[in-house]
This record gives sequence, structure tokens and C-alpha cells, in this order.
Amino acid sequence: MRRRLLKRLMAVAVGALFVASAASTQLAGQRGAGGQTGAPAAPAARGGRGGGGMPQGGRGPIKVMVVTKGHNYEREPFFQMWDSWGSDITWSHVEHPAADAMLSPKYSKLFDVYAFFDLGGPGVGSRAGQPPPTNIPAGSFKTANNRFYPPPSEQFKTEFPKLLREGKGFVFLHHASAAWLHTWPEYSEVVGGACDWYAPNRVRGIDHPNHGYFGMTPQFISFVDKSHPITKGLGDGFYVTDEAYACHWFEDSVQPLARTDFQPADPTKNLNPKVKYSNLAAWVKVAENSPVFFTQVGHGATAWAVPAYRQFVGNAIKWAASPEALAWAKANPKRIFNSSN
Amino acid sequence: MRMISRKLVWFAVALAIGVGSASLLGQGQWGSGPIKVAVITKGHNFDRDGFFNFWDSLGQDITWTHLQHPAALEFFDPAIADTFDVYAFYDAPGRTATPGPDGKPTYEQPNASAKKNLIPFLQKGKGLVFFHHSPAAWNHTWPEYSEMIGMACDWGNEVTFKGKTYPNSGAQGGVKQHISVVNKTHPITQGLGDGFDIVDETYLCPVDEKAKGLIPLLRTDFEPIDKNFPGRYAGGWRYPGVGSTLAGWVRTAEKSPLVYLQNGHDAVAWKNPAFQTLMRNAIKWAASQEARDWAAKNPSRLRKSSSN
Repeated sequence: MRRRLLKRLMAVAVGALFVASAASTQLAGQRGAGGQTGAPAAPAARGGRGGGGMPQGGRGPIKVMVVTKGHNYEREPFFQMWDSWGSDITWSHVEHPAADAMLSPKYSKLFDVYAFFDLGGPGVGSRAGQPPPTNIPAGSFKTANNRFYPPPSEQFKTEFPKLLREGKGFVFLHHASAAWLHTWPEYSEVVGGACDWYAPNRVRGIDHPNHGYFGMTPQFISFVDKSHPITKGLGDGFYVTDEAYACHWFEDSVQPLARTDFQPADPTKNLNPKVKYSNLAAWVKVAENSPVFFTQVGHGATAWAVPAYRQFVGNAIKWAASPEALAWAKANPKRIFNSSN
Repeated sequence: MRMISRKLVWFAVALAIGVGSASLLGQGQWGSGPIKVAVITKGHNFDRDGFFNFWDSLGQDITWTHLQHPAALEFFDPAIADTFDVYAFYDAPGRTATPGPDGKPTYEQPNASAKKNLIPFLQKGKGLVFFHHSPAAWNHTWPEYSEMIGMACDWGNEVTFKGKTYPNSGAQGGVKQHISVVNKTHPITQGLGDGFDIVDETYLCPVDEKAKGLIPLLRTDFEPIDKNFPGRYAGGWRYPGVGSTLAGWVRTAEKSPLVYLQNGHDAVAWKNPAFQTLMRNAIKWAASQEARDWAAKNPSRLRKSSSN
């Protein structure tokens, strides 16, 4: 018990030190030196190089579109994690609403893998007792606590299923599980679960209170499938201090890869009692003809700094791009969208 | 011992949350203003946090979206171009030389669709704001693109601009300059008075000062001659004559209003209140009906790409 506590303490301390060091790296970057071949040799603005001479954005063979927006995050440490995979990937940052337009077969030659750390269709609301927000997007879904969630564009709704049917790699991280919950339930089926921490919500016809989030939670993430290409050779799992969730995961629709030892004190605060709390922390699945990976881990710099986490997600990106994963998905298609597009 | 360990855990948690939160201070990533801006990068490293914090600081007027190559050029497709009101370019792709079959360098090409889509895109009347190193984009593979901006740079390779070849461009970081306003009536220079002081990287690149319809807005007091780029000069680099002191202009590209601002290398410039005013004005003007009407009345014809 004491040993475990000490391990957790170490995980938290390492995380804290990393965040502090990332912050100072950013400052150093503003004074820092170094240059890029063929670029102006100015003394400033060199923050956030990929490390090891890697250019920002990497230069590896797998082309990845990294999608964000809708949820604030620590930007530079996040980008540095992507740069750290730069010998395997070349990544491009494309935020909403540009990402929505790109998620179409029309542009699919540009990318092999689509990676999401976004919260598509985020709600706007006001605090209790305050007047409703003035910036309500058109066509929004209104929740019981007066939050308003915009729907995806018609073009996105039409094109995204076609892209999934084409067969591409999809990687969803952490709060990407909260995208489009109220306005596009099929999207949650693509990911394999759904969250909304700010409003009562309905998932698969079951009404939930606000889902749960538990910041900076020391956890052990156990690999429950050690033979999968994503986990192979990574041991039993890893310690991490990260935000944990109590969300509605679709245990019956996914192939588990990892579970957390975190247990919420009272799951009924966040989940309808009809749904048992799931400690799933990562899975793979198929959406239409595409391989999908999701992990709940990865809120912030304390998780992104853990070498095992980087290996785990780095493997997931490589797996999602691999001919084996694409062939597996095509051999095990999962129809989600009714449209015949 | 157990008690002490628990206290230590909570101390570490509090420390981590405190430090983590500090980097999230300055809430409002992406802004919430009415002007939809695509901020385009790739091809040149930059201080990402400082840059994005700068765009957040304009968030009352704009909602911005980071958009990198190769996705960025796809937005020249008129079918999706209206996703944004203004396209702001801080990119510099197309400079990586690899030896071709004949031993001559070959450079990265823009997306196949981009050359075909550019003129129809510009004819829609979109706001374009180019700044700092963006005239280095596609110089070797798309000369008409450099001509559209009115300037071409490459600090590692020779530059071809309007059919003439120039040596590698000059760049000098951390230069204290005074930027003079030379057009005090234009909406972009409002609030800047006679000019402003700034410490910023400056360039020596070919500029088409006499381009038809180009309206000068700003000039630097830095003298752009090769001796004033001491690092390069000491290494034997030479550049003929005196370069342009133009530091900002507007012109039209087909029916689109186009701005170029030479400033804006790094956080020193981005934190300069005058530069913030300048960029805010430039974005607001490029998005305005007034600018679009002006461009529609004063269209310029872009030379068709030879590979169209």
C-alpha cells in the first residue's frame, strides 16, 4: 500500500516537474537560439522545436491531421508531444471549422490518419441565475440546464460517413469523446463512448446527469490486451496523473486495450444507474470501414510527459495507418450511419 | 509516515494544478469575435505559444482557426473558401531543396488543385493578410504567387522574382527600427500616429514597389544594404544595391484586398501594442465591405500560372 502510494507520489511529482519545465522551455524559447536551414537566423522565436533537430510538424512518412478546438488546452506541450513522434509522422494542425471541411473523401489523399483532441460542437451557457448567453449558434440543441450545442454542418454530416467508408485511420484522445453528443449520436458510436460534463445528456436512449471528470488523478493504466500491436512490448501498463472520467463507454461495441484503477466514489452522481461505471481507458474498434483507437488518458502535460503514454499513443497512430489495421477494419466493417452516401 | 506521504501527495497535486493552470491563464483560446480568420502556418518554425497568445489577444474582434499546409491551400477551392472571411499567412513552405535527377535542386510543390483554384478564389473577394516571412512561400515552384504578394524571399536559396534572379535574401533579427506611417488616411494606419518603434527581424528581399495599384502604408528606417546584415556579410554574402524600405502596403489580387506587413517575427513584436493595433486594423479592413468594394472597383489581373 505504502509502496503504491509512493509510486503515485512519484507520478504526480514527475508530472508537476514536467509542467514546470515545459513552461520554462516556452520562456526559454523566446530567448533561445538555434536556426532552421535556409531560414532567417534571428535569435528569437525558436520555442517548441521538435527536439533532436526535428522540425516542427515532424518529417516522418505517416501524414496525420491533428484536430483541436472547442476545449482549451496547454498548446506548446501538446505540440511538443506531436513533434516527438516526428520521425514516424508529419503532422498538420487543422482546427474546426476547417477540419469539418477536410473530413471528406475529396481531400483524403492529404492524410493517412485523423487524430482528434477536439470538442466538436461545444456548448455555450450561463451560470445559474444569469441571463441566457447571447452567442447561441443557430440550430443549437438546448439542454435542461440552458446550455446550447450547435449541430455539425450538413456537408460534414454527409461527407464524414463517406470518409469512414473509404477506410482511413482514426485516433481519438481524451475529451474528443465529448464531440457532437447532443446533435449527432452516430458520431459517439464512431468513437465508442460519449461524455458531457456540463449538462444532463442522453446517450443510447439513457438519460444521464452531467458526466464526471476528476482532475489530476493518480492512476495505474493496465493493459488488458498485451498482444495488440498498440500495447505489445509495453509491459503491464503505466502510472499516470491525469484527468479521469465517469462517462458512458460502449463496452459492448469496443475491443478493450486498457483499463484504469480509478473508481469514482459514487458513480450515480454522473451516470444513470442503468449504466454500470466502466473503467475502460483505451480501446480499438471499427467505424464503417475504418480502424478507430480511443484513449481516455491525455488531458494535459502531466500525461503527455509519461514516456509509456507517448509510446502507447505513438503505436496507436502507426497502427491506425498500417495496412493490417485497414485490412482488419475492412474485414470487420461496422455500419453506423444509415445514409447510403 | 503514511500521514506525511498523503500530505506530500496533496502538495504535489496542488503544485501540479497550480503550475498547469498558469499556462492556461488568459482564457479564451481562439477568440469569439465576428470576423472568421484562418491563420496559416507551416514551413518555418515559430514560437507557437507566443503566436497563438497574440491571436487570442485579438479575440474580441476575431474568431481564429489554425490551419496548416497541406490542408490550407485546399481552402482556395471556392466550394469551401467562405469558411473564413480573412486568410492570414505566416507560412513559408516550398523552400526545401532536394537534388533532382539532373542534380539541380527541386522544391516542394503546392497542392495540385491550388494553382487552378487561386484565381477563382481571388475573384470571390476574400480578405488576405500576409505578414513577415510569408513572401517566402512557393517562390521556386509558383512565381505568380510571389508576384501576387509583391515580394519574394528565400534566405537559403537564390530567389526568382518577375523573371530576374536575386541572391539569397537577407534577414537580421532583433533590429531596433522606427516604422513611419506614410499613408495616414488609410484605415490600417489609424491609431499609429506618425509611426512606432519596434524591435523585430528585418529583411533584404526584392519588392515590387511599383506594382500597379500598390499603396504604400509603412516604411522602416533600417537601411537594407548587405553591410547591415553583419552575420551574413561576415560569411561572404553580398547583395547588390539598396533594398526596399517598404514595411507595409495594400494592393488588390484580382477582386481581393491584400495587405502585407513586414513586421511580426516573434513575441517581441507580437507584444508591441503598435503591432497589435496594426494587425487588428489590417484584419478588420481586409474583412470589411469597404475593402472588398475597393478591390472590386480596382481589380488586378494575376498572371496565370504556366502549369494551369
